[in-house]
Amino acid sequence: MSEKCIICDRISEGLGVVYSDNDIAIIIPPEIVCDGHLFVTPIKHHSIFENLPDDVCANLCDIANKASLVLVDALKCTGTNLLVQSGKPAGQKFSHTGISIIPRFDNDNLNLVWTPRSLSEEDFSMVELKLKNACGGLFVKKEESKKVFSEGKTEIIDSSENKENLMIKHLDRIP
Amino acid sequence: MNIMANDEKCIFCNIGLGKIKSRKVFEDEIICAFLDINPANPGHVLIIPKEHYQILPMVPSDVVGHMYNIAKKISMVMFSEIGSEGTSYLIANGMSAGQKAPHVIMHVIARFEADNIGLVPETFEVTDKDIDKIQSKISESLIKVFEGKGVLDKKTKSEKSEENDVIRDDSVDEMEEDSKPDDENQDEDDNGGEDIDSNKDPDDDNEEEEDDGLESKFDREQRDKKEIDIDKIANLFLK
Repeated sequence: MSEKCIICDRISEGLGVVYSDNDIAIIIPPEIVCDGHLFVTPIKHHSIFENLPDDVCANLCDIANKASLVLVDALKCTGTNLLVQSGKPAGQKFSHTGISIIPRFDNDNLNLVWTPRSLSEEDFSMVELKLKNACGGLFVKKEESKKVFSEGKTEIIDSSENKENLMIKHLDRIP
Repeated sequence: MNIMANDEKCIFCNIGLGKIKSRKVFEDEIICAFLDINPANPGHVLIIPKEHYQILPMVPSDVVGHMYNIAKKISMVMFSEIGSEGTSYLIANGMSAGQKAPHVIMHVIARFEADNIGLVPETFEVTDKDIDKIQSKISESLIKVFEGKGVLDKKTKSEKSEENDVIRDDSVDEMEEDSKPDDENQDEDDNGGEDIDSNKDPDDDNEEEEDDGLESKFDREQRDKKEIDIDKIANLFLK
């Protein structure tokens, strides 16, 4: 448990907790978008979504998916949104990650849309190339990565990992 | 995992199969990640399961976990490669939630300070009264979906709040009284099922919180309830 974390406090007090297993809790969060908004969160303190271990993440998402069904069944809503806000620019409110499950109804006027922007062909290609190269490095196994990136590209992976760690440390401090 | 069940008319199935061109950044045998052609920010990735599912509740648990784990890793790549300072992950189930195509799509959007793209809905603080009201509304469905396991009893928590000296105003007490007839109604709805809540000694609640007694209570309730028909929900979403 982290000091001064309102989500950790609520979980330990049981305030607004509607479901709890060994790793995951479903709570009614301290701030909600609308009635029925649930927050599916790891019991152990993790500040941002990217810090979650894979097994906890998979478990969390499974429970979140089921929580969506709970709202459909209980509130007869005609849709749900599963929203993760990671980091302050994404609107993360508490320094404890989780998935918001928001019930939706026709014409409920909730603002869960974004403004699309047009990117030039060059910008698109640049983003595509950067992500593609880095994703390729991330998802191959370590032994394979040496093999795949043996032609001078190994440094790219190493440097990107270092940058990730720095970024995650930075994001860890917010909000 | 064997990939099957594609809908040949579905654009996203065809993207997954490579029949429609897209800017793929990652794919494996289960999912495919590619750039949105109408991005909110530079670094807007869509992740789809290759198999055709209309809404997320239809997707098997292992595939859901895989989608989010890949999304998490792509988010880390965006931190390092394009300097994003946060990430929004959004899935819409149903047209009213903003779903535009009958194929599950996860949006992974790179966020930057003051990017003003939206996706930060307004919130308001919940009161104890709100909490009690919502808990009453969803308690039956929680039991149904989770088969009673891990579902916490509303009264138990109210008592826990008292133990923890959480200040409760009169309105909350009124809510608790109001909730009693609901419990009775639920029992009536269960066609003469055992009157569990109204006969229970409140002192026993804490003892029962996590033991088998509570589960067997839920098991009894579970027997009388129909399973949720996911296909029906999907049709409702995509009417």
